[in-house]
Amino acid sequence: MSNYTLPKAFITTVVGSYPKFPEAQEAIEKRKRGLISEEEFRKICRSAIRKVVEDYITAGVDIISDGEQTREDMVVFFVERMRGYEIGDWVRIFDNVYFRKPIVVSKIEYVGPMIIEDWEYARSVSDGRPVKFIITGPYTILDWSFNLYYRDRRELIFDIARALRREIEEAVKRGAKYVQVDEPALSTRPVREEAELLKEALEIMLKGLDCKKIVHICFGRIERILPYILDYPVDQFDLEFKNSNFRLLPYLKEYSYNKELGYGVVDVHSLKVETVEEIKDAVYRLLKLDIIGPEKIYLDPDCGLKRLPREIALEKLKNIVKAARELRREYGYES
Amino acid sequence: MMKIFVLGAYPRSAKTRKAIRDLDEGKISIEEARLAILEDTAYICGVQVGAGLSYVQDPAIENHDIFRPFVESWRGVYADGLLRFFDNNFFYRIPVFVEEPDVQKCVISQRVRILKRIVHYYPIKISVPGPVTFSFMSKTELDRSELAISISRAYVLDSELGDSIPDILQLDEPFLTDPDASPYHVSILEECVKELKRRFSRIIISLYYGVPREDVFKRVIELPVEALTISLVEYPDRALSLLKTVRPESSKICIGVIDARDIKVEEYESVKKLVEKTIECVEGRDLYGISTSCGFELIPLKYAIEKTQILGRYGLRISEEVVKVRG
Repeated sequence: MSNYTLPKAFITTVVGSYPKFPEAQEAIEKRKRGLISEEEFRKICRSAIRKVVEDYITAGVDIISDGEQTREDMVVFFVERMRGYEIGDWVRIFDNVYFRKPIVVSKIEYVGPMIIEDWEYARSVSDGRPVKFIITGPYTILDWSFNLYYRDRRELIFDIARALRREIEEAVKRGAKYVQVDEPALSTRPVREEAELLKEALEIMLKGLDCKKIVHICFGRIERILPYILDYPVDQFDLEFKNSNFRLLPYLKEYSYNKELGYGVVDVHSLKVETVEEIKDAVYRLLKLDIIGPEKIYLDPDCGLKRLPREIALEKLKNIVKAARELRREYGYES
Repeated sequence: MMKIFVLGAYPRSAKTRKAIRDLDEGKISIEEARLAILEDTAYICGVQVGAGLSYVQDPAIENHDIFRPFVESWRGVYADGLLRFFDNNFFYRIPVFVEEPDVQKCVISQRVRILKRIVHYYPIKISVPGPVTFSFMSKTELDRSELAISISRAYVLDSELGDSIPDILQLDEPFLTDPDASPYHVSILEECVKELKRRFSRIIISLYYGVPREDVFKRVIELPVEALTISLVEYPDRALSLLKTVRPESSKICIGVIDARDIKVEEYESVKKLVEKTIECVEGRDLYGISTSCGFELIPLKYAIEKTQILGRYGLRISEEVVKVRG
């Protein structure tokens, strides 16, 4: 494994998912039907993870991911591998597309590694680039499941947080330097009580761990919860900006934002590839607020890239990287 | 007599999900898919009647989302990309209005005709996207207040062209529970209700997924409609406190007491307590009714059926134990 030196400013990264490669999709289906074991499933998915990493390296992304190739869904994947859940009946996500919404039927407990193997494999082929350890957060798992066991949802979220902590602890022990907790559900209920509930859960999950801690939140009314999340025990918030036309920017100023920022500069719901100039303009707008410097800005897409065609996803990443390089030169971080 | 009813759409059966998938893949004809939808519709109507509900709610099985049937039946609007539907892990296709809606096919009257064939002896309730919610959750360059009024006119025209009127027209206005919704939005709804009243004599306005602001709620209860539903499920304390502050006329208020987005079955005593607390907060003793918190479309069908039956059972008991005793 060669060493990879991160740039001093405008580091580029990804939020996590990448378009699913056919072999991974097929392996997910086969595993669901019981045609292959978990071991065979992981083995087949390795080729997909390798291709994701190759695309990231081709694009020049600094901090990468495993592309979440083994995950059929960001919640179902985890709950299938924890004790306490049962996979429920079909519930609609959109149009005639459904997922099996999990049900909590007994106490939630950690069983064993869930995503560590994928992350380690990605790391082994990353040519030294750091690989983020990305895990779905307890609030989103709570919110996107039914509960027939716990009388108090606080107890439930804290048990989920304890189970997830075990997974993160193991990853950190094995060398994870960047841990990202995905919480897309939080912005759908942007009220203080919910934000505070997640804060308590994050403290259970992340307290005392020696790694860079990130929370990713996307879409919905992020500006409404911003004042309540700023004291979360994390180093960085990774937030969606482009899709909402950078509506969030003035609120960063208003609430004196000063943590690192994963700055979503390309829209994962649009097939249009943002130009280098557009991305740079977005960064200028952020810098103009004079709240955080280039060292604290990480450029990435708004969210996971899984719903885009691979070639579009790759082009978007390439333009983020090009923009970051030009910005570094402009601001004197590279010659 | 306190009314008991379901607020919105039902989920599809496995057979219908497959039929729609097969239709999309060209494996079956549209008639075969329609038959599956009709079977679900008939079954669900039967369950509502069997549960003793006051109205048969249109199960709206064919709806991909609340806007879609209208978007696909009107000229001047099309369905675009996906957007999260309020706080749900469910996404709707954003309607894009390029001009005022022009009715090409009837939706409301077609539904009424089908339901009347299934349960001709029962009052039929059709829910449609409230014009304010429809307008403000769409993309458009048009003036949104004018768009909302033209949507109302399209509903009227639909009913006139198809020559069918539901016994109750329910306007779903979850947008009005958003903290950004203001009395301005209610003033638009007021104009829309005027338009709709030309054709629909019995209108219910349904507020769900959240609790409206006080200034919004105060204006909504003044609208000349038969009833207003408010959910007591998501934030019961906030909803009760709002009712206590505003003290609306009880006979106009329907409360959502069965959580239609959760599979956990409510205990009778907790539902009864909610009704009792509500009665303490309003002016008068007899509530218009009790209902589900919203539609059932985001839980599996078997739970929707179970909760429909529970709503009927609890409603009957509550009528006897709470409302009548106090009355």
